[in-house]
Amino acid sequence: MKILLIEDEIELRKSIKLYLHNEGFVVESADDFQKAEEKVGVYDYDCILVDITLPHGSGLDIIKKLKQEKSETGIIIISAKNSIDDKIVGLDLGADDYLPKPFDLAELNSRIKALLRRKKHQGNTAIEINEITIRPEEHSVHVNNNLINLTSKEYDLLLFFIHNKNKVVSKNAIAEHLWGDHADQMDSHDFIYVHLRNLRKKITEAGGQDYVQTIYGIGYCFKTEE
Amino acid sequence: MKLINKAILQYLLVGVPLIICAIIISFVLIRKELRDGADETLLDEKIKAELILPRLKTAETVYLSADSIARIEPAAFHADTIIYGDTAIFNLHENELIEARQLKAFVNTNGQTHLISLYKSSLEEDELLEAITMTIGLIFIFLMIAFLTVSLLLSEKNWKPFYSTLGQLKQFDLSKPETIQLDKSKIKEFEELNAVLSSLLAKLHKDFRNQKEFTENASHELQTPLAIIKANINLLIQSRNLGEDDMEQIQAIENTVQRISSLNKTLLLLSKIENQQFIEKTEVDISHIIENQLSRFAHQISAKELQVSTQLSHETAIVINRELAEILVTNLIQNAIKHNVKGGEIQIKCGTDFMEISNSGLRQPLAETDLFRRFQKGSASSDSNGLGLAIVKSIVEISNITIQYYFTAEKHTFQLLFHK
Repeated sequence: MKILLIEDEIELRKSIKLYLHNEGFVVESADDFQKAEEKVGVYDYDCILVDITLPHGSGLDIIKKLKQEKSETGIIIISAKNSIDDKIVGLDLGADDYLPKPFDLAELNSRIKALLRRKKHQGNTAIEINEITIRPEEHSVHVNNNLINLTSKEYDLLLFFIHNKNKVVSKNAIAEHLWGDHADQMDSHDFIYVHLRNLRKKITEAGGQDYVQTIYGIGYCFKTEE
Repeated sequence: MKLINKAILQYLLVGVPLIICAIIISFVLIRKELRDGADETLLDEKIKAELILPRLKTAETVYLSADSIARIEPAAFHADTIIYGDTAIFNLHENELIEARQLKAFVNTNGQTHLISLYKSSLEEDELLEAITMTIGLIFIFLMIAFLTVSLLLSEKNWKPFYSTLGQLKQFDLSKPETIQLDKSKIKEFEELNAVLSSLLAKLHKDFRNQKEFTENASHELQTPLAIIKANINLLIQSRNLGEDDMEQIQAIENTVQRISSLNKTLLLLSKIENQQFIEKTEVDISHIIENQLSRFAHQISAKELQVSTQLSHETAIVINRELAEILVTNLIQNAIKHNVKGGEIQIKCGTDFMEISNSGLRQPLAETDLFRRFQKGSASSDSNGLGLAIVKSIVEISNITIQYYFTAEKHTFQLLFHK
């Protein structure tokens, strides 16, 4: 899977590249408008992460260009502006998702994976982790071929873990994933604990393995390999 | 005291003594003229008296004319002076003493000295003097009254541009984008005043706009560094070489970054609201939003074991920006949950033109003055950033809504009144 990261801030570019590289993606990057335009014109990418404010141009123009070429590339806007207008314009132009800075890399990773899955298989694909099978198109989860009944938050939580499997995800990242902007307005960590307890219980009761490890202090890790 | 009243008082303070002086001076001058006139007449009479003098044998009183009397008598000495004076004579017709002007002179005839005394009634002159003085006084007083009345009447007209400017300034609201249009005036001073005010206001608006843009830009600029910190924390926690202590420290950093980032988002929202970036307004059913938000907060509500009761009329369709309406309702509900006590209550009422949300909580009223101020934290929960109600306030301010706070029966109530 090939990703193009268009971002002018070097430190952010480095971190995103490293994180996604560890996730098994091939990541190329461009730090200004011209380089981005060039790369987009020459190569095909599965997914493009594009910042709107770039040196010498706007990320929105790159989206326009891609769409003119009827490219099937998935596009995620990563912007510091977080303005509704930018979001609307970007999505209207054909971007698939909009992630305002500052974001969690686990969140970015999760969005990329969800987007790639939608693009590649029009959503018709099951995610299989040993005995757990998730069918995102019907929001269903089977453990050992038995359907388990998850609430929407538990489902989101499981999918987020699986997208970031074998990675440590912080409680704050989970809270933001589940509740968005309102995560910080409540005692979200307690709620995560409650949802997680229920999720684990439902999986283990259906004969599944408890993959979720608590990482002291910071968060959790959905471990499928040693 | 109004300026015109002050001016009239000053005119009166100066004018009245001046008029009195003027009357006195004219009185004195006219009297002098009249006396001189009378004295001249007496002098004429003296010549007449001298003519008839040789025919007189003894001293006698001679009536020279109807209103003057002459007495001629021998005198023991002679002097060259003519003496004028005021005296009183007995008027036979009126049967009383009347004021008169007198002339005494010594005349030598045939080697004999005679004293001629001439009297002339000054009754007429006195009456004339009185009449003239009265007339002058009346004219002055009439002029004064006329002047003051005209000033009073004209002042309203002349000061109209000033009051128009004043009225406009009273309406002035820095947070509103439209600038004040001051009326044109033909009066130079007012024109200058308006010009100075206009440029002052324009500068004020510009500075205010810059200030607001600065807040917005600063918040934007902070997002990227925050993203970098966050990303590096994400990478750092993947390390297998970290001990529990390390993780705890990272957690502290992460929580802090989270706090800054949420604070930053909120500040950005505030400045966006104030910069009028939520323009598009639609009809919004507030009750619907309340229901949605309550279901979103169901977990928090049940975690705090709160009793929620609602009276929602779905006829509440107000014209407002939908996003702002949602933020408004969300913040109020969050506020009611956050500052509640375990097992407390929340009541939400929504009618055609109002919404009311009350909650149990602190057993004393909140200080109303500080309630909507930025970074004003409720004492109970320190995890809030103290901007929730500030946002509520800035939303109601631009959405034609009034907000009021009550504390009754140990319940904190926020009431929104939607104006058409």
